[in-house]
Amino acid sequence: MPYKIMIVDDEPANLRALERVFSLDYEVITAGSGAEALDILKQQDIAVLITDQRMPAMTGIDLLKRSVSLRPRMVRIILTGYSDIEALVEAINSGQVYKYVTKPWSNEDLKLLVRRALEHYENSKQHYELELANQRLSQRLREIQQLATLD
Amino acid sequence: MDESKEGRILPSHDAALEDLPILVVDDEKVVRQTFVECLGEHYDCVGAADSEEALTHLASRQFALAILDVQMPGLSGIELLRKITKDFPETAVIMVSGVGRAQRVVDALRLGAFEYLIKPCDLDVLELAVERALERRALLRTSKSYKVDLERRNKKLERQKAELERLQAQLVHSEKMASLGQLASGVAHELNNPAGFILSNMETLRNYTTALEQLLKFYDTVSLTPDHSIRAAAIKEDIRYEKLMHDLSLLIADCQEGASRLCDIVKNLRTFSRLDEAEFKKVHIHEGIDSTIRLLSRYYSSDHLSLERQYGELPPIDCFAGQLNQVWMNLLVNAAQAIGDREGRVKIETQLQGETVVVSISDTGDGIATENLNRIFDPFFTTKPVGEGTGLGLFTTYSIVKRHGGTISAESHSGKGTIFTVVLPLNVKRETVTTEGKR
Repeated sequence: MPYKIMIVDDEPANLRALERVFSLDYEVITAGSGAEALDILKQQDIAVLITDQRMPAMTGIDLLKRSVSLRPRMVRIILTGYSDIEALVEAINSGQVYKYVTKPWSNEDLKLLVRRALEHYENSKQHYELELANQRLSQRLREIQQLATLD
Repeated sequence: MDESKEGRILPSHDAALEDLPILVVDDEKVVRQTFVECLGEHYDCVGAADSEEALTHLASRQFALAILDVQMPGLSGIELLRKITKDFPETAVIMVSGVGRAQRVVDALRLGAFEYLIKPCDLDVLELAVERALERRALLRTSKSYKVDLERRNKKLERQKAELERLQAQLVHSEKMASLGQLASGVAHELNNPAGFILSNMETLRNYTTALEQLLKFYDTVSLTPDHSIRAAAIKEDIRYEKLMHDLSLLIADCQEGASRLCDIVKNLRTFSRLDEAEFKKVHIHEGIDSTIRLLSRYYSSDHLSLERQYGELPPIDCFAGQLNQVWMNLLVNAAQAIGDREGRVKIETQLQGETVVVSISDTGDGIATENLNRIFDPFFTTKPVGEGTGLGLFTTYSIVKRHGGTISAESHSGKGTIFTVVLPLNVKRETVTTEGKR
């Protein structure tokens, strides 16, 4: 099952160009606005989200911030025409953005970046699953210990 | 010129000047004494028996007026007049003579005598003549000081005008650069998106065509029915298949080249309009220059181009290191390109001058034509062949230097090479750098 990658941009030509870059290797879902992207995120488990920063209504950073509660382990990448330093620094420092890429991008660099992002995604997912397993086991252990003391 | 006197228009009738004495020169004692006595009622009067004595007096103090007898033993009155107008121009002269020869009168007046009296002369006439001579002298002095003053004021005005013109040119230039900056950032923003997807799509297009070529090559190996084979050959001829396949990859390469050039322009414009800002820190300029030279080994490792580095002792300076490196890059590429394939030398000189660092980069290339010299920092101005220069290199360079509070200037002599001089302040406040040129 290929990973799902979502691309968000208000420029349709950009969406198509990026879709072409990734459609061979991944399942690509596109959205033309932040709102549309959030709707999709509610229904689908996305591994990597690549969004344009400058969009009317919701900016890329806003979208990334709001996506954290929906998909905490999704890897977030922002694509910017301008390096809106102030906004970016804050987003990056608060851990909401994995990487930022400036336009015009290079396909090869972007592909590599997404591969890395997916490794990161895989790691954090495994980490999360291990944590869950750990919790379950600890719970079980406590139950067994309780049973043992009852005997 | 004493600046404090600048405001004064007229030298007032100085009391001291009015009180200057009158010198009476006559070898006839009677005449001399009569004159001295007559004029002595109103003026301070000194007598002299001959020209030599007169000159001694003149050398020792200033006289308002000298009354000279024309005919005297030794140096004649006319000759004395000549000496006085030459050496003591402040002193007015009245000539007195016994013989009224018209030519002599004219000569004397021409030599600068104020009045010419004929002996024996009425003392009233003498007094009147003295009065008139002194008046005229005062008027002349006044008008002369008027003239001096006017000339001084004119010079001052000329200086101020030149200064104003310089400031105006500077204003026009920075105004131009500011509006160009706005334009540039707008253009960069608008170009960025299409440039991005064109570049990306061209790569994808290349992949697609490679894939299609693969398929077509496979089809070529498949044996077709004779009928299909003939039809395929006809179609191939019709669409000029071989040429088309060959041209396809060239076409894509050209488009890719165009797109990446477009991206370069956008990148330069972004630097100009400060869209990209790397870290602001203290760095050693020499390190930046050296690493830039390493990047430019394509130019600077060739045999015909010698590079001379004359580095002074420099402290680290505050700057956006990446941007400054772009300055060195642009200047060094230009220098190397100015020399081209010929023998030549590029010299980099750095030195500390007060609170500034001065970096000059000179080449022995063709130089810049005078008519182009004041346009080289304009955007899109280039003398390089199409495709080699975007016309943004020096424009960007200028804006980066300016952003650092520095100046850049170029001096060039056709056929003798060019020297670019960058002056950067040692300590730039980050605030200054960021707010300056903010749109």
